[in-house]
Amino acid sequence: MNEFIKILLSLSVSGTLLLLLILGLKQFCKNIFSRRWQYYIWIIVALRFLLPFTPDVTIVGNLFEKFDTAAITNEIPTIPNVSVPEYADNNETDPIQAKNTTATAIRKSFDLYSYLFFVWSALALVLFVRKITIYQDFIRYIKAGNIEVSDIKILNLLSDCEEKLNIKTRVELSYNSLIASPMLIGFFRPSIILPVGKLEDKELSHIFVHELVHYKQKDMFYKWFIQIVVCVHWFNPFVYLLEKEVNRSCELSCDEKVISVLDDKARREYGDTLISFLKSTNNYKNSLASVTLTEEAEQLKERLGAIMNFKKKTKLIAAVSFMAVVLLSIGGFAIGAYAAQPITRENGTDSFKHTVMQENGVFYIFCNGADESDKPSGGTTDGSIKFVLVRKDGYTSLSGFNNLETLVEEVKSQCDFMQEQGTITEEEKELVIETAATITSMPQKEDVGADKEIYSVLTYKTTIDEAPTEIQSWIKECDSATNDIYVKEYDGRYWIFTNVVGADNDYGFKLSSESAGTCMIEIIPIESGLGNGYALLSAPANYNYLSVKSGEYTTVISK
Amino acid sequence: MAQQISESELVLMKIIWKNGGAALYSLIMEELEKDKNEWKNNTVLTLLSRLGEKKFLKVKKIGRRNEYVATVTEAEYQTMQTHSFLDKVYGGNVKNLVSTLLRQDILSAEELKEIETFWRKENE
Repeated sequence: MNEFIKILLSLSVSGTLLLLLILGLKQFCKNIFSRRWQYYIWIIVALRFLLPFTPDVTIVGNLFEKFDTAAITNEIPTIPNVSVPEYADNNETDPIQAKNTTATAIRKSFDLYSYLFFVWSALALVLFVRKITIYQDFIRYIKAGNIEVSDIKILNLLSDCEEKLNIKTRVELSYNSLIASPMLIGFFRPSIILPVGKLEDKELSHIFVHELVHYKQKDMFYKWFIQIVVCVHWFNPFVYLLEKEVNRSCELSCDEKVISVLDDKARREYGDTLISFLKSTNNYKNSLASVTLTEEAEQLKERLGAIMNFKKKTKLIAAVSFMAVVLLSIGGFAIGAYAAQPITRENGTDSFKHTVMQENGVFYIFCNGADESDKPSGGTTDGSIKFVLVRKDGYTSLSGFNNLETLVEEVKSQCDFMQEQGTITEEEKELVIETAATITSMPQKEDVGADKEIYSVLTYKTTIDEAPTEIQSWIKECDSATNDIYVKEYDGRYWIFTNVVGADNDYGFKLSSESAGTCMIEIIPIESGLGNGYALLSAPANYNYLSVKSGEYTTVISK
Repeated sequence: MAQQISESELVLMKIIWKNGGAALYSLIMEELEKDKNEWKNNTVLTLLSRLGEKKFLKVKKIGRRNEYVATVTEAEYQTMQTHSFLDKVYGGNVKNLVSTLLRQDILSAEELKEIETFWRKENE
């Protein structure tokens, strides 16, 4: 949902930029490019508004990506200094405001995007449907008042004009008392409608050629294409400007073609014809249903001016025009749009320096690009804590820590020793100590023995049978048909339940946390692929922000 | 089929009727050349298409050419028009029509006798 809105908005921005660019260009180069070029060039803008194609590095794309990373990056503060935990006795958790707002902000943003999407699509649809119904009504209205033209002479005149323009389709011709100005209707079966009244042959042929050119230019299709852009980007005021520009250019381009076949005298007469139709009184017109002889009075002045100043364009101009199209297309493409990126968490070297994965008592610390494939398998502990530093080319382990109170100190001394020996680097030492600090900074329950003490601060896999009864009944209530992730807080722990691919408990999980308050767990099914199993994790309920991800589903809990 | 057709369309229908109720486009154009008026290609096509829409004609494709087949016979058309004319001008009153025909010498007395004889024979 939010990806779609971002793409839509970025397209809107790109289209507008291109629109303004070309508009500005037109101001300066009005007389260089043919009217026809000026008419069809807007297609590039319309396409830019609608098609989400973009090169990898673009202006608008980058603009929107900034919004992306700002939203995703959880501002996780640095690890608190290593110190003997004083609040080991304190069971309460202090809500940390910063993380709170980030987490809830992310949740709120999902709702906002859905709301926006709904509003946008409702209006776009309504707008479009309305345009169609108005069009249909107009056609019906016109058809009701149509009277066929049966005068052979007039039909022959039309036939001549058709031949002059090389039009193969048959074009119908009728009179209609309901309209003021001649018009063309129909997409595939064109029909010219004339207002009633005496019309001279000369006038008629002007009218015919004009309307037939509209047909040849496929103006009806073009106009509706622009309407689609208007409906999709209804919130953008510039698309209405585009609409107006296209309509104006439409008539001018049509005139250009008409007078290209007329001589000087005939041109003046053509102008007269245009003026005479403006004077008529009955004025029901629908510009989406028809293409009339005179769209607006104001542009008539421009049209007449263009008619009198008409010069045939040279070959040079044709070449320049072509180049301009190419350049503008490339430019339009390069302005770009937002391309939704898949969100990757592990790679972020900015937000996480390393990933910590935990399985029972063993903490695997992946550093320097190592990943799960480098992890040594089969780590078990006898209830004590073990650290394994996993590198690309091997691993180093520290083990034998049984006491949480002294954990950090012991880790520190073992690390110092190893650093002297050269088995770990300074950086790696810091990592281990940080992890140790993280573990100990989580308050634990008081009344437990050595093993249970450690377990209480750990997140571990368990089975439904081993879970407390309360949890078992909660699990039964969860809808196991979907792959949603369910989290329940009970007895000081978070219980996380979801479906995974793979038989029963055959999955792994990655736990990343950089401070006492935040934790991100990712459940990774092991690809045995047979049957559907479940995942049940138990984590200490001390995090202020817990995010659990499994496949495409994510659940976020914040205090 | 109660549609009205224009004079020009009627010209075309007459050609088709004269040709036994069906005619190829080329034949129609040939006949039209004899007419003092000019008949352009597109014009004829438009009119034929209108006749098709009014269900006076059916178009059959013979190879790559079109044959236009009348679905209304001349007699049917005359009947339709006669009814229409009678209703419109004489308010449905046939006797008035006949009396006009006689009084204005459009129908002569002899012709009337012929018709009577013919009618008596028809009914025997």
